[in-house]
Amino acid sequence: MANGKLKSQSQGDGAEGPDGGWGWVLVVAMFVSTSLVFGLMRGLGIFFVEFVQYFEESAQAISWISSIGLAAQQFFSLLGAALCNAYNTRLVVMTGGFLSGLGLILASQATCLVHLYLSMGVLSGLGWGLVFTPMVATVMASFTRRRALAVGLGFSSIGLSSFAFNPLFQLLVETYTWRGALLILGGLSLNIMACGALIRPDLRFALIEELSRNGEFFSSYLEVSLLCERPYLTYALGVTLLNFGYFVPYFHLVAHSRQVGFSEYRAAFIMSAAGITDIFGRIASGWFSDLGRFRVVHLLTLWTALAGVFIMLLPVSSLTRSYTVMIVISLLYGFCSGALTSMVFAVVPMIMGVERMMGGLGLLQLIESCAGLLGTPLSGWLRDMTGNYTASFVVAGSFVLLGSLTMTTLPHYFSCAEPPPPQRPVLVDNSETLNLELRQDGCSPEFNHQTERTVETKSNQTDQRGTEPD
Amino acid sequence: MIYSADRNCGSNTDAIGSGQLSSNEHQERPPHRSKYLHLSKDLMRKFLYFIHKCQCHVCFYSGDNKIENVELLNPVNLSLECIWTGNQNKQPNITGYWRKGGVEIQDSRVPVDPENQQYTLKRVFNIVSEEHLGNYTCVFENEAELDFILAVPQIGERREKPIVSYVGDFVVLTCKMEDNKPVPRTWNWFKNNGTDKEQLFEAQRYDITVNGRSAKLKVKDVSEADSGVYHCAAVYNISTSTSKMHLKVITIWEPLKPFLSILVEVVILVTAILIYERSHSKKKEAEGTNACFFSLF
Repeated sequence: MANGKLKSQSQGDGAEGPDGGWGWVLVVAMFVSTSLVFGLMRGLGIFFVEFVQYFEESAQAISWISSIGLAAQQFFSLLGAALCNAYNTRLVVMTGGFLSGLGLILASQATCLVHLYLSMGVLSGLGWGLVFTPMVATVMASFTRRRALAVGLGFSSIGLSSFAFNPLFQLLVETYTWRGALLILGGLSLNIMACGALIRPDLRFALIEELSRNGEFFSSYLEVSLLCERPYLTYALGVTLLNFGYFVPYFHLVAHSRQVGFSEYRAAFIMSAAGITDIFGRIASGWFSDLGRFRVVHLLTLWTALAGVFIMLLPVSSLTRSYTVMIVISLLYGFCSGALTSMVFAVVPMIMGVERMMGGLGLLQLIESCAGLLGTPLSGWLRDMTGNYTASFVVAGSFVLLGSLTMTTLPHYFSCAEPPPPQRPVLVDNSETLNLELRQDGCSPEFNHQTERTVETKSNQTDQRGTEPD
Repeated sequence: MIYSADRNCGSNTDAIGSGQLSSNEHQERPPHRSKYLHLSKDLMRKFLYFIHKCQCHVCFYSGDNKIENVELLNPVNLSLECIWTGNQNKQPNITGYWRKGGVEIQDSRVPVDPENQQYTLKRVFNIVSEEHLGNYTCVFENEAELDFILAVPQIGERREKPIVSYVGDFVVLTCKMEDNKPVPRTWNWFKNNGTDKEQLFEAQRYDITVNGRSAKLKVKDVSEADSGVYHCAAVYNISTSTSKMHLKVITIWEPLKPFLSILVEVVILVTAILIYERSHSKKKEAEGTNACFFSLF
């Protein structure tokens, strides 16, 4: 990316041009596939309870299943991006869909925990990793003016599906037990193949070809030089700490609610409530930061701190044994969780500069995948030690808070204006197409259009200052 | 109010005494609380409220909610007492009697004279075995009634929905007596066989684990014949308390049906999309437009 130059193609020459037509079909494909990846992952809390009962294993041992899946998704995102360049995006997404479905189908036949680790964890995680990033990149590449809307629409599926899937999964588990439910979910995941089929085979990302020609594949691609920079390291540390605690509610809140005494569907709806406000949090935080009153880093630390507080309040609110209180806290938590994922990605170009973003994000995702891997089992272990989830959630919330505090140590945090990014973005003739890059989300599995807007604004500014053209 | 009597409840429990109790005072407990004596949180405001004196084998109980639940473990002489504060009519005398299971108990009719503006009806019942349990009602004729339901501690959680399992898999049925209820002497498991209940014993396919308040029945290698209604029974000296659950055994074909239909739907969608695209691109080639080709960076 550091060496590449961005060429633009004149667009809008017909019905097949970006910003319309087939692009909206791809948005639908992204909607469906993202819901089947992240909505599904967020519904795994229902299965957690069933596994604990069936296998009679500790909470910690069961937690590894979902955390391996999550970490694999983050880890293999990089692979997915690379494969898109080497091969056809369509092929990669369809393979990813097939693998994720296969993993769940095999999981339905599991007789011991290791089977679940390998099938539901590694195999499905690999599939999810191959699906998500290419799908997002495809949608982004198909739009220019309406990109933010398209991607935002695609991401709204996460909150919606999290809302719908929790009670649905509970119903499936009650009718068919977890084995049958996983089998059916595996079938549902195969629909990602249909989403992948919608990607036109002629869409290609030529980035890797350029880089490998220059022979600087690994060092550029992964932007290892970033490891020597303090802002990047601080940010990576903050995001890693965040990752330790961020997923714990998705995997353990249902079990905690059941333990407190709520029935199966009530517990599922507590989780759904978080999903619903997730959508609003995303949109509201994007809109609010667009107002420009506050710096993005400040907003990020605000939402992250609030999310940490609400995670800690979850077990406290259950002490009241009041369903309403739990729902309210869950709604608030969902809102902050969605809001923070919006901001987490928006901060990225300020930390590493736009041209190093892809490699930097890849590296970031590698680093944070270990937190995703360890966070939930740690929470499960705490539950095994203490007998309930209070300690788990408090620790998870404090990790999120710690991440927030770490962000405050970013350089120039306390200044009111945005500092200049580490490296000046490479100039282009068309500011809009600067955003046509292969992006990966590194900070969290969710992606947000916020970055593009920020990048657009930045390149507009540099344009106006009249630096040298491409 | 839930209250149960115990052989050892004797010496230490004193009557709390009578008096008008407001709702704030209902947390008071007797000085030495017998293990099985506990009070419910709701309390009547208007009426007198005694907590009884417990002497060996005789326990007193009275109250004024419309229905009172009395939990018993052991045979006991139970004294039930109803107090009614009367109404504006202030009748000089009233007839009171007792009913069991809706039927008036013979020779239970007595005239009741008001004392300090209250009418009291009291009777001692000899509760020895299961047939003595049931619904007892004290009646102030044409004026007021109070029900006492005498029963063994009931198993709290009842699973309404059937437990599902697959042919060849194992399934564990659990029954648990709540922590605030006394520990059963033992547990038994039964399965409905036609109209009869057949007791299950530890066998090759059945594993029974009893752990004080909880009991588990593990059925291994289930088959469709294992479907049906199962009962767990908590055995107390006086009677047993049962809870039933429904086991449903299904074959893999059950979830396979929706799975295969989803599979068919995916195949149809993918083929349709690919076919559409092939025909569409052939059309495009015929028209001579270029495919979109974005090269990034």
